[in-house]
Amino acid sequence: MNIVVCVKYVPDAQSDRTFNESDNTTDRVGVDGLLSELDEYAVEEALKLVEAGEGEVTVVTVGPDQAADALKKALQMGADKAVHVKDDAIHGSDAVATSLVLAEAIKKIGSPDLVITGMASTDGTMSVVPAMLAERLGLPQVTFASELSIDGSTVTIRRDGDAASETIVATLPALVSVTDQINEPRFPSFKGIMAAKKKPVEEWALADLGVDASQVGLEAAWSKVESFTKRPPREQGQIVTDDGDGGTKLAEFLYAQKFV
Amino acid sequence: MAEVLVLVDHANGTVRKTTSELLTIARRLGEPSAVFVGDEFDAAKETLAKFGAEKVYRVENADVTDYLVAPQAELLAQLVEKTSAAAVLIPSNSAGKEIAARLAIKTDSGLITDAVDVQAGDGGGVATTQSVFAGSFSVKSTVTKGTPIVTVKPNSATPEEAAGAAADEAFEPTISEGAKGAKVTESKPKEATGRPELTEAAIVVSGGRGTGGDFSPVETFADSLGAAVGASRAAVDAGWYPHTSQVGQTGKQVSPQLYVACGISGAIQHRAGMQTSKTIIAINKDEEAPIFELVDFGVVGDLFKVLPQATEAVNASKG
Amino acid sequence: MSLDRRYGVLFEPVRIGPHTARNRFWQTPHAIGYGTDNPGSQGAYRATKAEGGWGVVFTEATSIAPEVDKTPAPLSRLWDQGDVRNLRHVVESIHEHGALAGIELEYHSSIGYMTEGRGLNARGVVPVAGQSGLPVGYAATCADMDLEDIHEIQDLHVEAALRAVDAGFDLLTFHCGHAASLLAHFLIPYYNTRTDEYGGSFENRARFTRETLTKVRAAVGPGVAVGLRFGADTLDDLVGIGERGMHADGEAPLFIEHLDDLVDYWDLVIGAYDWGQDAQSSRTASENHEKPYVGHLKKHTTKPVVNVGRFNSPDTMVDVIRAQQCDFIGAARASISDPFLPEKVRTGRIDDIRECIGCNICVSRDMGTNRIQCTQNATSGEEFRRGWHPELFTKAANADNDVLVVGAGPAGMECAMVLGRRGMRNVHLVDAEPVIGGSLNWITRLPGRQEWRRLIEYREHQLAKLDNVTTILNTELTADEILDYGASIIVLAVGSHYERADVNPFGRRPTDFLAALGESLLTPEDVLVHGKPVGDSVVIFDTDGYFVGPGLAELFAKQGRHVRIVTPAETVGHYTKMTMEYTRLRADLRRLGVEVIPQTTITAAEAGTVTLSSADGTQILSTDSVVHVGQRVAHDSLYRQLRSRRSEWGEMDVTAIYQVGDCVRPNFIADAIFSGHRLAREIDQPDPTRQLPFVRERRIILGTEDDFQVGARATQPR
Repeated sequence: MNIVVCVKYVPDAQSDRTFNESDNTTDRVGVDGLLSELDEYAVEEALKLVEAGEGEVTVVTVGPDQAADALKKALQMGADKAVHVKDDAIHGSDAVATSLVLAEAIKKIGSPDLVITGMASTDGTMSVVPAMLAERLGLPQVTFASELSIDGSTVTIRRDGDAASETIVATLPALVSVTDQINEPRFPSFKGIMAAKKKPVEEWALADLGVDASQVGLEAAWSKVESFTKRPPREQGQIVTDDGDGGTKLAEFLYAQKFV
Repeated sequence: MAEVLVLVDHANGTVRKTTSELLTIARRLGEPSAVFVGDEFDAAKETLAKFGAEKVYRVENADVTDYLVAPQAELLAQLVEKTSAAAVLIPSNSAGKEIAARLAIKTDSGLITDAVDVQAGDGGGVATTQSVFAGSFSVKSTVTKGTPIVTVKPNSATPEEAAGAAADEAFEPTISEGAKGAKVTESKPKEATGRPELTEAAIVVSGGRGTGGDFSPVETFADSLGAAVGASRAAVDAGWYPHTSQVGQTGKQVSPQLYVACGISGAIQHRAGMQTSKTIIAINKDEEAPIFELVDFGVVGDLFKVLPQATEAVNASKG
Repeated sequence: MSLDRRYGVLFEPVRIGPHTARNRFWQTPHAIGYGTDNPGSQGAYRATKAEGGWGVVFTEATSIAPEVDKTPAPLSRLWDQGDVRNLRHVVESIHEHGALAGIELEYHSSIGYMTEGRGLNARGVVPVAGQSGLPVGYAATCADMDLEDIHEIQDLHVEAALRAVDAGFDLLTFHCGHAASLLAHFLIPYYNTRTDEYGGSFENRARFTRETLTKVRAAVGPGVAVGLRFGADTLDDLVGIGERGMHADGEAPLFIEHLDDLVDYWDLVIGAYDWGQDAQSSRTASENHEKPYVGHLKKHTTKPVVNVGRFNSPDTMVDVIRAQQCDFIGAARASISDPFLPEKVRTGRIDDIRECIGCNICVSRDMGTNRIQCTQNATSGEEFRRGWHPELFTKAANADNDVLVVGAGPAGMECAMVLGRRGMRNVHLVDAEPVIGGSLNWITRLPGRQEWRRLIEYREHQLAKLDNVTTILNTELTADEILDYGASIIVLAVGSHYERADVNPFGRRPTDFLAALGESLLTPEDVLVHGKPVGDSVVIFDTDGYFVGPGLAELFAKQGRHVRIVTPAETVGHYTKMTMEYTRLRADLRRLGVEVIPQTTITAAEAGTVTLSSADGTQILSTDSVVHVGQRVAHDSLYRQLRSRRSEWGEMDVTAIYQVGDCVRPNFIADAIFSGHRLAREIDQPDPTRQLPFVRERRIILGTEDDFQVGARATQPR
């Protein structure tokens, strides 16, 4: 079973994140980063599936130089090989362009039986790339899997929504996104860390994928940021003393702020 | 006037509030055309008309209802082509976003997700507002290609009644084989699971030393808001609540939309666990308590009086 | 940020007599077991506090004359020029870091029967035996004092004061609290039944102190600050001395007003002979617990006031100053746990403060006449003799190694943290549980022990900040996986557990008869980790002798069960006498209806009953459950397995495997943490399994400076 896992390198949630003033893109260079936590579950699930039978796990990412760190972690966990798509032209790409690049990369890797992604990236929270990717690859998508099993030519997942718990079946090949409930990602041992150094990492530019620079990047985006405003630092708000109506005033505030 | 397609969010014909919000937004941009998938249209018609739907495209095709996401995207793509819609509005739930994403690729159109406001743009088009990076930035965006596809978060507009014709138009989409890859084979309704998990909850209500060990007013208030319940370290040390509920530098760090601190003084150790919450409210007897330096709204008073009163008012306003 | 400006008030300079303290942090007098005869250790210990930012640093209770020597307690003495020279070194060490140096002088006549003063006689306010001599009144009486004795003793105070000035001290505190000195004995009616002008009325009883201070001030002059450590309340009966004592709402304000003109500051405490009431553990006292007694006294004086009371958090400290409760934040234990507390507040590193857990291990070491030790801070008392600084760590010479630490309990967490700080290339701290902390997770479920969680919280936070340390939970490693991990150095910190049946150390007989109890025989972990059910009636059989048995008794009694606690020892929870928790603990057990059965062992068991045996005969108790708090066994089998596979280490690139903490020998938590700390500090020594020798300050024939270096073994010509 050959599995491709799409991983993303994201800014560390703990450090301050901001926008680049010059072009309104997210400042992804200036901050500490790591493998998106939600993608760890995707890598783990792929590893478990391959360990149960035969096959290979390839991880792929699209991003600048530092994105190699995301791949590194996945290789340390046990992925067999990695693909790093990087090209300056990609900077500023939206989900549409990113899904195009990923789709072409996956086609070049070879037709996998399963494409696995994490639930949502912890930065942009667009969570649409998996769907766009599935559309471009012509695959059915099943999302938010908390449990997954393969049976010959189908994949069955369990998904816990707000209202109901659903069992969904899809024909392979398919794209699956997994939640943080699905497994417990393994930590790389020192041995895993050492072994990762010898695993192959291929670097591809847009030209290797047959994608033109005009199809990606800021200018190619099908939507654009007009402006951004930073939420002002917290200032002290209103304090009232309870004269017998403190609770009522509190409820009024909640209502005005749409918490009720 | 150009049509604006609104994908109706309903449960067996009962139209959800999000749909009335989307119809209201659609009226700002053009003429609302609801897209109703399912065969319970009769139950929904009245509501759709009440909030301004001029047309309703009714889709009863089993392929659309039986299979997940992909057929809905195909049908909307076909409708977009047929109507040359000015925009497509879809509710921002997980299915909605997936449909919107596939639709964007199919129609070569730009996509905006999780909009908290949508207005008509200057010189036509659609101007959206999103809230990103855990609420620390507010972003205004527009679509630059194709038919703007926007997924909209709940509570982004106040529904306005406006009598619409809701003219019934049956629509028969052509669903490809490739779109029939995934289906739901079983669905088990979930029982009420109780309170949300502390680090994921949108609202957290915490109790501290001021509760004296009696968390009931805190819990009842939390339940009225559908909130998770947290505790300060003092309350955990005293054995009133388990360590798993502790909010603070040495407990869980939370950043909900709303954090309510009840009987908590706000020592730096606690502040470190909740100070990035979007809105902070505190109730404390001591007006000098450090927590009040952080709040958007504070009540100096006895939580045993303030919370029950607030709970009653909240429950009353929910009707 | 305005929030951080809150703490500015703690860094305001304050005048004390002729001096100015740089801030409001006052390290109060406390004994550390090194006295005046180990000036290197005493000096380095106090200097560390000054370096850590304490504005005022005191040494410890210091006897002013040989007749009131407190041997075997290794306390300070200020009898002669030798002591002056040693203390001068301590003062200079304190001054070097910009703090004021203080000394606490006392003439403690009730010093008991085990002292060294041969041919010397402690004189007392009245000849009645002192509290410490009570079991052996035979040798504990004080000598009588007539007027001449009184003047002579006052002169002894003056001479000691002059020696203190000679040594360079800035502040001289005369002990008048904890019933630890003659000043207090004269003052308090419970002790003073004299009928001359030094007994009877308040003024008479205060006379001795008044005269002594007057003489001292005249002698030392205006260049030094003089103050009183005043026991403002000696508490009610059982924990205190009751009606005839000193009371905060009685004579205390009078005393303060009466003597205000003679002092430059007041250092307020509570408690009588049982000074453990002043130093209550976290089991019974939380921050600012002395407020009800001392909170209102500041208004009776025009001089600066020091309060104590488990101050731990900077927010409480600010509140107390702002409320004008006191002028200085006094602390001993908070400073033991983190000598750098003030600096951390000043530089906005409040999250790095290592909070005192109030376990009172430090108190127990003093009660045991030993060197100070702190559960939270393994470097306490080791500053000189091992060269350990609480905040500074040298880079390990073998830092180019990856270390696997198995077990994230107290020893493992500490070891990983220090290894991380010493720059080991990578440290992986691995634990099978989903949470960090090991046995501390269940121990802190015992009543009154929740604050011990700070041991976990501090380390968890520090570990998260270390880039070269990764904590991996939910992962159990077999011997194969450990060898195959890729680590060159492996540290096992896998702890211990309570045995179901063991060998009763009192009598050395096996207790395997307990197996007859079947399911109703439980261990502490059975109850607190595995949640096994406990019946309505329960017998706790405790040969453990510390907090676990009594803690379970308290827990079960609060749950409404019928509880009996049986121990072969003289008393239940013996070690709590050392941590000075015993009085309140015993009273709480009594109040909860727990039956305490000491000096008794269990000799047989059957379903539903146990047979007790004591000097008074045998007795059968029926009970639903028995909880055996017996021997803990070390989890050392993993180590032995790995050792037996030594031949494989080479091919796995494993160079060393060590063990730390309970898995070597179950001991105090303080020792587990010390064990992990020590290994990490010495990981780059030729043989880390053997502790480096520490400096022993002693006279060595033909000794040289080299003999007093850390790691030296005295090698002298024979």
